[in-house]
Amino acid sequence: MDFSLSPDQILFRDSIDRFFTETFAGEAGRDAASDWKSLAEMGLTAAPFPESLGGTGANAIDLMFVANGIGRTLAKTPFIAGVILAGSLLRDCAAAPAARALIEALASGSTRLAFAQMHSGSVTRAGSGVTISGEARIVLGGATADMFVVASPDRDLLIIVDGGGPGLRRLPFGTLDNRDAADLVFENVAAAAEAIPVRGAEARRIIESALRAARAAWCAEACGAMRAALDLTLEYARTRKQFGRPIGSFQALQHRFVDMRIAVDLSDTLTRVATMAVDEASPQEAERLVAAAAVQVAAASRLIAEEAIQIHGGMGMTDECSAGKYAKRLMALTCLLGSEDEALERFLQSA
Amino acid sequence: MRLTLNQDELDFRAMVDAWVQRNLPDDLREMVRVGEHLTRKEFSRWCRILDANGWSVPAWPTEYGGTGWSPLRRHLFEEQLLLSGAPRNTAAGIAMLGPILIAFGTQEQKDRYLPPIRRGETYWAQGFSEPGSGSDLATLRTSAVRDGAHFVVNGHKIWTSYAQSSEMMFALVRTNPDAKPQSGISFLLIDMASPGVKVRPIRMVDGGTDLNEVFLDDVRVPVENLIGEVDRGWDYAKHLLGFERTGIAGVAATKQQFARLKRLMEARSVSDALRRKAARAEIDLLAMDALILRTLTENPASRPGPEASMLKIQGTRVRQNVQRLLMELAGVEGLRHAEDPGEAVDRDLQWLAANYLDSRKVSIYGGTNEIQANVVAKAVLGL
Repeated sequence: MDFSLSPDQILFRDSIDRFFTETFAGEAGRDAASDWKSLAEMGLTAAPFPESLGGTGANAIDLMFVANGIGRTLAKTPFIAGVILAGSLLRDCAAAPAARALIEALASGSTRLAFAQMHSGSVTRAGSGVTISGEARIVLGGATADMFVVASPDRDLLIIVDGGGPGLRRLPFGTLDNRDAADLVFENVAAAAEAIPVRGAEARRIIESALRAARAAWCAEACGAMRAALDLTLEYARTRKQFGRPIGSFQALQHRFVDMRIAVDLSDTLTRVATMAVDEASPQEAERLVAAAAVQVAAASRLIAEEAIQIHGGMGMTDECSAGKYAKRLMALTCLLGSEDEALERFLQSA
Repeated sequence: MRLTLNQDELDFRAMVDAWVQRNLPDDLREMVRVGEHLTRKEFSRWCRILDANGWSVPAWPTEYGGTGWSPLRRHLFEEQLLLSGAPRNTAAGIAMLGPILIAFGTQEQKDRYLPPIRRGETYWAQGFSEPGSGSDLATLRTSAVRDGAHFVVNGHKIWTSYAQSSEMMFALVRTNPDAKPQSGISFLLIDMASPGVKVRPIRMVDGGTDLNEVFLDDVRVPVENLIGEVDRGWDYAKHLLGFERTGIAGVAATKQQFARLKRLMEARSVSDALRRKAARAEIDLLAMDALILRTLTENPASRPGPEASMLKIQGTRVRQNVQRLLMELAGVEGLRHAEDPGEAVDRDLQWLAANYLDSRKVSIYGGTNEIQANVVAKAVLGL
């Protein structure tokens, strides 16, 4: 195993760090459209695609740095669901013309995508195409997406659906960490055969692979958020005085900070392992290592979120304090990754 | 960034494994497999076998019999030895005194002491802790007073591993009672056969007697047994703290014990609850292993730092958890006691309780985990 970064990777990482600091730090007032424009100008909406498809050919490690930046700056953009997850789906069935056309639109920044997993209902054959009826819940970026990549309930079909088409109803909501999402209701939504880029076992394989890439990226987003929350809380402990000295001088707090730092380092390291596995390992081994990272990240996220609030005291409970904002982002990411127990179950299944 | 070892590294591990399979005596292999207590006799024997292949002191410079391997290669080597079922080779002479002699000893001292350590002929005890000076080691009171060509040493050392079977002891002694605690300490080499040295073994909670008290009563130590300069001993001892920044986490030993857990789990019906706990421990071990490899490969040129204390804290936690799970797996078989093993039908389980009890030491020795946390809070986190 080798954790050293090439000079190119270091350059890329540093430019991504600068980009997020300049574009997303102090996120007040930004909207989804201008976020997307910034990401497209940086070339990031084209990141997961090879150059032959008009992309920049970023690998999983490059995307990890992007996800770190999202977490660190609490950027609200649904980049991981819209580009890493939905983009990987399209990339893996790019032989289909509909997927190819959508890749171009996504890469150029002109179209925003979301992935919608149906939780109930059915997809029935209608001529050469299909008719979709049912629900897809918790669609990240679903309130602002132009197009949806829809997975049928048992994942044997991937269907491209226009966000403005007849029969599709959006029920937008703001997530726990104040990001855009929606539930979708499909009422006899018609899709032509050309809008189905992949079917059957191949569809399932592609969906699982894209979800793995997304989970690895959510782990990386959590690592960025954890590191920032820890730094913030350390700074508070160095400056906040009680009993005539900084609270960070008390051993009871010092030892808790050491545990936090260890938890973040372990999470970040295992996330790197999982991210390398997404690119390099067999699907089964990648599944195992991504699940391992998710277990570690879920446990650490809870620790950092709770300790950041606790150590900030009453201030940590207020809405204006960043500790709570990081805590909510970390809670949200833990929901996406599946709890520590759920991820452990995936680890056991894939061992 | 690369997920797996490269072909060269894989070949190297395979070569080490094949060598161990050919050269590890069956009785030693069996003792390691069941977790039996090893003594100086076994450690020295294994050291001599390694030495015959030029592998007993891999971290030393090549001129003293070292291998010239990179830290990563040494890590792979030491890990493979344990994974192949060999005993550890971490005697205090090899791991602690050697690096200090090499850095601060005179040529004469190096020539005299290093070769027999390398060959497994002399065994060294570490005389640092005292009854009143554990975590707060700098307050140690064993005194050394210059008298002509000798230092006269008086005091009381404790937790001295293998003192009863060691030829020599390296010790921290106070040579200047008026200086600040850290500034008045010297580093002396003491012949355990000297008049006035008395060793009393301490029975430990697991039944072992490796640790001792050493009483020093007007022991005359030749001045040529001083390392470096007088009153600078604390600096020399500190040199060790970062020497093997990754070995201190004990990941190789934990992997060996985890492999034992998996082996025992496969041979028995175990609860889903234990299976889940073992999976959780496996993830902790994966993360710890990766963190060590990250430390070794991310920035190979960087110097050891206080971050090593975090590796020690977490590494020992993971280790103790695996030992805890082995004890859970034992169930009622855990009643067997290493001190009175009898003629068990199944030798796999009879040492588990002793191994569990013994594993409690790893968060205590080498600086307790609480002291390590103090170091990290100050030097890494700036608190």
